[in-house]
Amino acid sequence: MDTDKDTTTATRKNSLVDLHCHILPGIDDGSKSLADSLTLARAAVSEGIGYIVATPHHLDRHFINHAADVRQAVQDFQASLDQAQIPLTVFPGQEVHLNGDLAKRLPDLIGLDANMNYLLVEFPHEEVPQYAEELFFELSCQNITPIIAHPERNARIIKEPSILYEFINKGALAQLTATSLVGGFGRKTKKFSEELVSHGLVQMIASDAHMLAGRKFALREAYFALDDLDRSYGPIFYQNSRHIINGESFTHSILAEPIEKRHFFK
Amino acid sequence: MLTSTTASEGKSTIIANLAVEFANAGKRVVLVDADLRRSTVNRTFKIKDPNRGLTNLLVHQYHSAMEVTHETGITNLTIVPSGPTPPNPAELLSSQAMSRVLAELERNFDLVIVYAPPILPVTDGQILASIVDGVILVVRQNHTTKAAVKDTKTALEQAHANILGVILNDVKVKGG
Repeated sequence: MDTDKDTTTATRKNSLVDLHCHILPGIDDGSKSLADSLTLARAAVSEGIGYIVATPHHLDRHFINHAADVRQAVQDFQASLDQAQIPLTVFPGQEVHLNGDLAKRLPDLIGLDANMNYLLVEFPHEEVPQYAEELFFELSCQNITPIIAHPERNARIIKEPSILYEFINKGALAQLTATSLVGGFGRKTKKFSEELVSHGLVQMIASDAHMLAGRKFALREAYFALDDLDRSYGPIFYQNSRHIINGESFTHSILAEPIEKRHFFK
Repeated sequence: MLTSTTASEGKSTIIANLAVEFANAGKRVVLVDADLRRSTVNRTFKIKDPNRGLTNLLVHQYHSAMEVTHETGITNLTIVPSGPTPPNPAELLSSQAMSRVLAELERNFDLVIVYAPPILPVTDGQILASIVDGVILVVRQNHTTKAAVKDTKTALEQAHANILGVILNDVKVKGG
């Protein structure tokens, strides 16, 4: 990565990539202040994270964070990080709430990579909108791969995981929240998260860190959890995140397959 | 056009080899991946940006078929990958646009080989069969039942397809 701005600091740079984080101060339901943000940044570094894509909410019911504003906020925050000698590089991004006309809003969107080959999108919590399939197709035609944020917490996907399989089968990707995999949202969510991993239905993990109690980064712990599932998973997920932040195409080596039977209530 | 009765009869391997052989024989060949649901051709030939393909053309993102062709590194062989998976594959394939695409490719190449989805699971193959010059059916031994193959033949006949012949794949040689 050629954007390493921290070569002057004494601390050795970490290599973990976090693709989803509400670390920018005062622009969404994440960090409330610069002090909070710096606290989060130090926590990130202690987790082994070296690169973060700052993904404030965009176009949901509460927050609009225009591309230009996010870029400015990232620039300012990076300056604060450098001043505080925190060895962390932050890139601009967005967690874009699904809207039917998203394909027409591309100039105001920021991808997870500089070329917007990957776009982080969020479904409403309770449902998967009808127009999602059509929208994903339109995005793909523009060479943008949609990445579905935290599918393990979407009520509709929990009930019908085949919906997620269909999206993945058609070329979308999905991102698991680290806290889900380590059990921070309960046993059922953890179990479902593990199934999603082993069925190839999520291809990366990210912190989705807010400044909330119980919403830590948990990224290191999540990589250990991956390791527990299968020794090969950790390196695969680690590399995928790097490919995405660099805008490179890759093939996920866990074959996507539908989740046949659910044993939640056994 | 190459198709089969059901999935996994060996179409993609056969079509890739067929296309390469014709290209080596000196014909200018274009291989069109019209399996919009489960495309594999782009992976076989390691196409770098598979999101520029047939579907982009069919939704009028591009105007000329020549804009979505990809070189393969094999002389005389050009690929049109399927492009992003659309919500309505059958509808796109049955459009006027699809016939125009094939006509344009026919003008620019000696041979247009179309990779179609299997006939029985979805209607896409039947639709394509009605607009191409001829259909070759791939049948894998000990995989597909005679009845299913007969159903496929009936479906192709209903689509007024010109069945050129059958490739029997994965043949077990007796005593071998």
